[in-house]
Amino acid sequence: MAIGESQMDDGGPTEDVEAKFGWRHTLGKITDDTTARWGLYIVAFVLVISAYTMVDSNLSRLTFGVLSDFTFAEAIPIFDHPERIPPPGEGESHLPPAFHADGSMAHPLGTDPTGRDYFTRIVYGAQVSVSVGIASTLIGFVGGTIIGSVSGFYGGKVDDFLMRIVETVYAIPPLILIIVFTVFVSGGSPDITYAILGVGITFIPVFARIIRSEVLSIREMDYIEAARASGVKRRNIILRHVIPNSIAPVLVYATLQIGVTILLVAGLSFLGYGAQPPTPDWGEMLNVSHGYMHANVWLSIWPGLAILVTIMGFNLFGDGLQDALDPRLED
Amino acid sequence: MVTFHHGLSRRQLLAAGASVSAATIAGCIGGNGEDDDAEILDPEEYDYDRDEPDDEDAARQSSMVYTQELERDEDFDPVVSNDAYSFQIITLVFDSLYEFDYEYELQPKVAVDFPDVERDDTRFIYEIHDGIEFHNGEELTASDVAHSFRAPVEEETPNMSTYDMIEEIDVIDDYQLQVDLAHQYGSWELFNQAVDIVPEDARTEDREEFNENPIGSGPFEWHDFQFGEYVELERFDDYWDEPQPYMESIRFEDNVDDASRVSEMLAHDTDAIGDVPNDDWGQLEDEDDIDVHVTESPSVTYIFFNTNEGAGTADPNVRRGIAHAFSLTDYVETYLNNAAIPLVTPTSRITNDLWEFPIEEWDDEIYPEYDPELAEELLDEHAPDDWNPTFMAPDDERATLAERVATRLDEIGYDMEVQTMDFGAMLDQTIYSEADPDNYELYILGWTGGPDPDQYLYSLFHESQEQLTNGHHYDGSDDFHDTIVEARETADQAEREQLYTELIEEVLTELPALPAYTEHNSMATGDHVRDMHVHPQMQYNPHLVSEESNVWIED
Amino acid sequence: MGLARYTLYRLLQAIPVLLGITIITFVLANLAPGDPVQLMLAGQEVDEELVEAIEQQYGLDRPLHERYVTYMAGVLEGDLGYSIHWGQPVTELILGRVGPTLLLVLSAYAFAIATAIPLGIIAATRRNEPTDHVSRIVALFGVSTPSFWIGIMLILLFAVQLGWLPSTGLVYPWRGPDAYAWIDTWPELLYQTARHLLLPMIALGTLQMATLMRVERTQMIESLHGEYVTLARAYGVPERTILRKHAFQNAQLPIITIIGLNLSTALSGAVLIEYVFNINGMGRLFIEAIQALDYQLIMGITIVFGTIFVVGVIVTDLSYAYIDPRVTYGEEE
Repeated sequence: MAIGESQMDDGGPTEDVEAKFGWRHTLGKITDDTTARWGLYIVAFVLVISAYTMVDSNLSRLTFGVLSDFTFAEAIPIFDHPERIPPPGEGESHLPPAFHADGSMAHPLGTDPTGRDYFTRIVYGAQVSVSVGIASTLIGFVGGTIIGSVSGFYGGKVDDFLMRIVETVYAIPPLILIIVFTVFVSGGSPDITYAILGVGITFIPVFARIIRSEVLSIREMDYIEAARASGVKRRNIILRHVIPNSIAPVLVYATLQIGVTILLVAGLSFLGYGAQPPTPDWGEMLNVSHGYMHANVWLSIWPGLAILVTIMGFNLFGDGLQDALDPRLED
Repeated sequence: MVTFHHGLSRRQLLAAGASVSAATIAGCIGGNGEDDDAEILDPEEYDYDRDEPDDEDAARQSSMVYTQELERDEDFDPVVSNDAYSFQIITLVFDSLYEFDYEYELQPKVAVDFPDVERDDTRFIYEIHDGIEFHNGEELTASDVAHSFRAPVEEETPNMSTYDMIEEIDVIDDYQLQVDLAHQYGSWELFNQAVDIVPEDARTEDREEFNENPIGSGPFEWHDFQFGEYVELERFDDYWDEPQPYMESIRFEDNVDDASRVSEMLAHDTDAIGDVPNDDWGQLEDEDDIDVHVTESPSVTYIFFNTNEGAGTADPNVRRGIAHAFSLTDYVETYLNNAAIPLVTPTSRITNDLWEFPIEEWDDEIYPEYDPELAEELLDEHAPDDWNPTFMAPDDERATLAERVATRLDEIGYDMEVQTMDFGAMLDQTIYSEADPDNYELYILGWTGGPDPDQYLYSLFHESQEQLTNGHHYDGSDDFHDTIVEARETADQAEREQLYTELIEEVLTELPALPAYTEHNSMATGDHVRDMHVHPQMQYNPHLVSEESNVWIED
Repeated sequence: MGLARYTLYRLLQAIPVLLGITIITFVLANLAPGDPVQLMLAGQEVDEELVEAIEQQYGLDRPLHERYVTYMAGVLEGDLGYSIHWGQPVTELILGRVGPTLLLVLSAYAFAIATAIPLGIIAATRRNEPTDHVSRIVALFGVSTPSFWIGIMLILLFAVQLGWLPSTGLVYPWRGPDAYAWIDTWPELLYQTARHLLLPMIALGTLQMATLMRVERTQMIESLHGEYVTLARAYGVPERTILRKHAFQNAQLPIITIIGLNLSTALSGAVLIEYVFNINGMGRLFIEAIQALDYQLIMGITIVFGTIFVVGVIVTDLSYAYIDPRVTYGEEE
């Protein structure tokens, strides 16, 4: 028994998925569900934008060197360079959004204190938030899967030991643990890479627990018993049977977790321990714009809305996925 | 257990820079969309007239909350304290021998007049007022003054260097003392003699207690104190000097977050805030019931160059090239138009005014103008191959200047990496480090000096201060460092002025540091706070009572 | 196992976790690259004597595990070390700051519980009706919005624009009216406390509210579909009684667990909210400690935060056991 073992019962994944499990089935159900469909659209939209901007900034980096002053997106009239500060005389700082009387269509969301186009920065910000969200969730997912399945499958002392570690990591509030990790491991100069690592490691326990409880239920199933009886190696049982069969609910959880992660990383960047300027990142932008909350409130509004919509997308999609996999709540 | 003396903590050095960074962390940038041609603000337009209450009795019941812009170190013993924000309270609790007026010149306070000077400018004889009482009822005598001069050196406190040129002090009688210096010391009469006077007996009885519950002879006495949260002072009703303060009590709080501090002011949660962020200036000024105050300060922000071997910036031509590559005026106009003024000397404008240096000549002839073509030419010729310098900046608006320099260099074909970090971390990486050119070739930092050029040149350019307060490791011409010492140990004003002119011209020609701008001291108050005038000496703010002002609250 | 024994059992169980917290913190702080003494002394004249003194005091010349034992010996006596940045004992600093944080977190919980449970029940009983949709949308926004951003928006609207509520700081009731020159009576003090608390409480509590509401709704729907309820209905038990007696009680148990576990999110959020509202709690102390790289203070705060969480979970687990006598205390696996 562990601290708060019962957390897995919060309407979360359950074990009786066998009959209705199947990706096609799931996807079909999601597109039937209006809210989940919107979630899917938002997630897809954000992912496409992130992928595009990621390719673009890397392409321009490859083509023009590390500190590139050109992005291919600039060829599209609505985009500007996300990081470059306009030369003197050009670029107006603190321009209000286009719908404002003083706004300009050239800068739909206005400009930041240095005169950079805020729309471009918001769009490029998706890349950082989403990739950080996904990358650190992935670390948590992989780490959690390994620890959770080993722990659940072997049981006994291994289980006890691993679960104590997991509980301990879980007991330190994530933001605290991540900041301590980032600051100490980076030797006092945090950046986004350490943040990803920190967030990922912090979330290993959550995943480990879910996987473990899945494994515990699967371990007792007939075919595992059969495999064990016929002398299949334990490692192979874990890899071939246990993990594949327990992974579905965890994937659902991971989708929801991406939202949580983005929220957390936004907080981290807001405090200055995540993405660093001039990287366009929503949390980092909120950090900078906090200083201008009276002078130019739009700078605080846009990144907040961007975070809100993105996380909402992941939550709607995750909820839909959960509903699709969990027959309990159907009418 | 080792007790870490406050004086040895990093906070102290932070504080030394913090009075600078205070205005700076404020950050802030650029006019808003409506008035993008924002002109650089002229502090002189904010010299308000004196104000007198109609009802003096009502005025005597005034009390206010003042929100400081940085946390205090909570050291209230002036012998020990070395942080501007604790000092804002200290100056109300203690009287000093001399005090600065609004022109930044010392005027007698506890001293009856200026000292008699003897023995080739190394002996100063002071006479003090009689009948001055400390808050505990003891009389302030010449031996208390002597103790106040001696204690920083005897106890090796962070303020030691202000008084370590004192050779001997003779207490002649209760109201006279004679201070002998070991050698001539140029800034003695301009700065150092303004000592805050502590009661020797009360202080030496229990120094720890005194530091948290100080007793002075000033217009306000200690009332209540919650570590890390607030300090409350009350008027000392037996104050010896005129005018008697109107203010009955004042409470000091702090809010280091600019936006949040401005929120407090806009929501009228406080009566006054220190340091108005550049971009919030307009909004606060537009509020009918809020007044903004500003005056010049003796602070200077510089871009420093690593001149160690191996750095591209070891070559003065490269330094000059960088200096020509961007426009400081343009930067200040865009980002700091309310908070700063561009500067062409390593000394502040206040200092320059007092010393009458040939500023215009330097500006025209030596200070590098924005000239990207010349910059490109100089760099193409002198910059090393594969030159890839790093520019370190604290993560406030100074980082924006660093980024701007990098952008301009990028446009003429040079890569520069900008690294931003916490103020403390940045100090570690730059001035306290070995100045490895691989780590940084440039950094940006501010400094608060005073009326004397020595307060800039010695700390920031003399070799003895390397890794303490400067990290450029500039060797200079043969007698550069000797001249700095000579100028500080000379008493003759004309001679000193000549020496400083030479030194400043060398700095501007060789550019171990490029002076960038000077920041203002500013404050916002509700308009019910009357007769408030912000003082150039940041430790004097809020300046509640003096010959020149007497603050009260109008209901 | 009786309740008393279960309590003891849970307390004993917490020991390895608490130990683990100190180990993780200690290892992170000590295995970091860079010389801790240099980091501590950064900004000072390098004084060999001082360096040695510090090395000796912290035993930096000794191996890690020995240092840990020394450190733990102090911790067990309530001595969390010495803050270089503040020049004060860590324990003292934290004790001075823990009150505001607990006040903030507890009031945020009170707000979350008071709103989430009724809303969750209403949503569940009127499933797929407009009320349900509205409350689900509220919950969705709640779990998707950064708390600190809500805080900034609340300040701009209610403090700066409308001027209804204060924008920063808290008024602490435990100090009594005498500590505040501008407050005279107890009722006034409590009123001021509430006024100051309102915005940060909402900012921090929104996420909790949304989470709890979602769980409450799900649980209520489930228990309304439970056999027990179906049976009661079949017997003609009035719907209100069913709701109150049967469905509601069953649904609350998971809520209690979630409250305990969400303490970690709430404490994380408190760091951000204290920063935005300039509240002198542990969260701001933590940020200041991090900025100053004040090793012992950082370790102390982390340990205290972890301890608060562990204690919180034990309390909720115990109240769970107390409320639901069916819970079997002991090995559940």
